[in-house]
Order: sequence, then structure tokens, then C-alpha cells
Amino acid sequence: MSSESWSPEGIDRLIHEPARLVIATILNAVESADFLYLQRETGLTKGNLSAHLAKLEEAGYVTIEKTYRGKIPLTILRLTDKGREAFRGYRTQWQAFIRKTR
Amino acid sequence: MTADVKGDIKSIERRTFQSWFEDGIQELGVGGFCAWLALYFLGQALAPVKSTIKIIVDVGFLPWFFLGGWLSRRIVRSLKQNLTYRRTGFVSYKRPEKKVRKRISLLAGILAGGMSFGIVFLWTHKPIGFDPLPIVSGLAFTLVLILMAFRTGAWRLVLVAAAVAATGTALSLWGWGEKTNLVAFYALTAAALFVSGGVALALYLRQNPVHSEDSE
Repeated sequence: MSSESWSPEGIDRLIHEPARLVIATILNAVESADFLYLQRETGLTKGNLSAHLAKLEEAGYVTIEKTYRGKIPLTILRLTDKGREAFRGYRTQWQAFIRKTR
Repeated sequence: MTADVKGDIKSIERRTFQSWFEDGIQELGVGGFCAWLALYFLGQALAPVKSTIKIIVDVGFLPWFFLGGWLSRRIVRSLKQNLTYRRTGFVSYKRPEKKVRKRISLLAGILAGGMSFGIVFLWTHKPIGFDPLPIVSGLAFTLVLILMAFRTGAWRLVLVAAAVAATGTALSLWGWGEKTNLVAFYALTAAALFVSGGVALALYLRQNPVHSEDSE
């Protein structure tokens, strides 16, 4: 049963997707992180991570800031207030669901 | 990947927090701060009694302490920028939540109170030749290092804690005198942290090559 095809009613499916859940969890635990850090911590490929981040950005959950460190381009990622709220909501809903099904 | 996700969110959060400590730079920073304090106590030991220098040194403890803290943070940030962020990426952490900050303050208060009580108690009951300051400082450091080891997953800190406890006890029992004991204690604590942080940093640098391009 994949989490993409099934999820408890009312749960935020955008965050429920496994890779995006890891991304949201990490970004919720920090103030900001760059692309390299997230890539290393999630174990995702560049393309995969970019695609997931684009979805989270589209939903207004993440801001993506392109900048430079010296001459090296740098991509800084932050969870927005809306994203933090959504993550907290997801966590509460998921915990309630787990309790109910025990 | 899936196993990570299905697993505990808490463990991902813990790992995210712990990643700050994997390069050993924080230990080098704290070690530098201890060496800075050792220099202060050396100045105190060397300054002639009742001299102007002695008064300046005594009064200057707080500025010296805060300057050391500021320098230590600057060095940690600079090393992180030049060594860590190019290898395993940049991360900046949130300020701890209010309840966590309260808990840390409470713990610091209990520790400071315990240290003061310990020093006064040992001072009034001390046998001749026994210097209570190193053992009390050693035990306080040991407690903090063990808590840090649990919180950060950097178990090497337990070894440092054992070395610090042994150093404090040995100096209290068989030290060279009250003036030099604190110098020796902070210098040896700094050395233990430098060794631990240095080994962690060397391993980290070997395992993580520099990324010459960003990410995306």
C-alpha cells in the first residue's frame, strides 16, 4: 500500500509523501538549510529533490532563495509559516490516526 | 528512504540536530574557550600579589569571559564556513523554544548552585593540601559533557568527560597548589577537547570531499 495511493482522510497528502515528509521534517527542525545539506540528509538525487522542493514551493510551504557563496551558487531553503503550520497539523493528525488504529 | 519516512520523525529531527556536531568543530571551539580561561588563571597566578596588574586581572574576569565566548563562536562559525558548508552543506538552527530555554536555564542554575555549595562545603571541610576547585569544576564539566553526549550522539564526549573528571580529581588531591591547579585544569580540559575535536574533524574531512558546485 503506497502512501501516494492511500492516506487517511483529511491528511495533507503533499506532506504525507515519504520524501517530502523527510524534507519537511528537516526544514521544520532548522531555521534554514542549503540544497547540498538537504540532499545529503535525505539521500535523494538532485533531480528528485528539486522536483519535491518545487511542489512544496508551489504550495507555499517552502521558500527557495538563490544566492552565492563567493562564486559558488547557493540555494537556501526555508519552511514558511504556512509550511510549519501544515507540518504541525500533519503530525497531529497522523498521531491521532495511529492512536485510533491501535 | 521509505524506512526513514515510516520511521520516527523524532529520529530525523535528532539526526538533523546531531549533524552540527559530527565535524568536531564545536568541541574545538569549547576547547579554545577553555584554553582562553587557562590563560586568564595563568595571568592571575603570575600577577604579583597586591599589584595593579593583579587588580586589573581580578576585575577583568567577566570581560575576558565574554570576549572568549564571542571569539570562540566566531572561530566556530568561520571554520564551519570554510570546512563544513562546502562539504556537507549549510544549515542554521532555530533558537530553542521557550520551554527548552527555560529548562536549560534551570539546569544551569542547579549546576551553578551545586558548584557553589560543593566549593563552600569542601572548603570548610577540606583536609590540608586538598584544593576543592578542580574537582568541583571537573564534576560540573563531566556532567555537562555527558548530557551533551546523550543529546548529540557524539559518544566520544564520554571519554572526554572521563578524562576531565580524572584530571579534576587528580589536581585536587595531588595538585601543585591552588594558583596553578586551575591553570592546569583548564589547559588539560582544553587539550582533551582539542584531541577529541581534532580526531573527529580529521575523520570528517577524510570522509567528506569538497563540493565545488552547488547543489542544483
